[in-house]
Amino acid sequence: MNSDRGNREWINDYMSLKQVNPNNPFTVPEGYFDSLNEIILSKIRLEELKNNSTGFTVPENYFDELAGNIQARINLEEALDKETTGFTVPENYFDELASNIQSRINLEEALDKEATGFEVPEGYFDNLQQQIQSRIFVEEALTAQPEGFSVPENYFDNLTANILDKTSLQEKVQRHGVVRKLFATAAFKYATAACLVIAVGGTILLSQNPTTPQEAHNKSFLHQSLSVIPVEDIQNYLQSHLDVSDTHTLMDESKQVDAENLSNDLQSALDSTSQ
Amino acid sequence: MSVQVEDSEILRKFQDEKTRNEAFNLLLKKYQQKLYWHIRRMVIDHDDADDIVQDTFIKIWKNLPGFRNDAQLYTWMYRIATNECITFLNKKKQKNNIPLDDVAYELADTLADSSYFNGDQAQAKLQQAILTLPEKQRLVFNMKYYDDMKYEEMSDVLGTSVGALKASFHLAVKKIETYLTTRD
Repeated sequence: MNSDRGNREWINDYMSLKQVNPNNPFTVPEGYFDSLNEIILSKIRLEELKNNSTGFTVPENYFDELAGNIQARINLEEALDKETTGFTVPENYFDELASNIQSRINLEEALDKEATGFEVPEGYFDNLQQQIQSRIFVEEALTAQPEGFSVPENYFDNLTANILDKTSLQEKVQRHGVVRKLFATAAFKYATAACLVIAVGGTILLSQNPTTPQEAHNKSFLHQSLSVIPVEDIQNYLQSHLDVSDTHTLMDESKQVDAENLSNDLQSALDSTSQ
Repeated sequence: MSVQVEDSEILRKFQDEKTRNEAFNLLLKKYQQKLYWHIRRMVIDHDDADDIVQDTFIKIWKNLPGFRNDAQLYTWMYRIATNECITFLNKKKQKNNIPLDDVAYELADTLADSSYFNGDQAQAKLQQAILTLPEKQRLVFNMKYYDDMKYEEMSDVLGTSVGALKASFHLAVKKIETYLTTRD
């Protein structure tokens, strides 16, 4: 075959192929090639915009060093991550941290509000330091400098002896040893006072209360009322007004009444009470 | 009929920044269909061909300032288009994880389903026969059968010697003849 023999002469050697329509069997959408130019030019413009500088610049050799810088940064952060593994925090610490901080803020705000119950004069803290300083100066002046009055040497040391010499006390009592108070504590004082009160009160109370029936009767209102009435009047009254119930009462009592000697007994009872 | 501008004129205009866009427009008008059909016959599907032809001209625009006239402008652009087609087909093979021969079967299915094919039964059979060829033989046959390119031009495009190209074309034609005579 000599395919350079003209453009199509070689096909004469291939009958089947020769019988095929050599026209292009493929088609394109209508107007495709009319718009293809514009489409390609638009794409080229986009490519140029993408590649052209946007006005931003980078330092010299930036991109050459970028890979190395990134790797160094990665290594550094990995190293930092390793270092921080020594420190740990409680579980869920960071999750609860925000709410804990907020609670603490709320608490301190509430405490601040409560603390306003205590107040100080206006400008107190502003002047406090100055006042303290002034006070210090004054006290230092007071302790450092005498008031201008002076005393003889050892005056105070001899003062006590001088006073004693000039008074009536001739003997100096020198006490040796340890002087102790009789009433050492307040509890002892209170106990002593209580005992005295009880003693006095008990005496008074006992003296007022009669111990025997006779004494009790002598202090009664009946005795005091009857003691001023003559005996003969009392006898006459009893003889005229004595009745059955009175007799029963007298009989019920443990004391036997001697009827024969009733007047004598009555006289003796009246005489004893009038004494 | 418009007068086609010579490639040298296009290149001269392109070198001047003021007339660069005009030159490229001329280039587009002169070669867009040729490159499109070259691509279309390789990838069969119109949409795929549309993408590839746009990418091809964008590459031409980017690399044209560096074109050194040591080869014809036409063959240089053809080379770019051919490489874009091969890259596309390799990606298709890797994407679907299939051998290149099976890519041909897939293209044949595309051909059968394509709404932009109005050839007769014989033409359809011829396309199916072409798709059975290895990739490089397809290129050689298409450039010879459809574009009437000289072997020297094909050598510039494919980077293959003229003798190898002739042998490749001979084998391709025999295979197609056999396919056409044996298959119904």
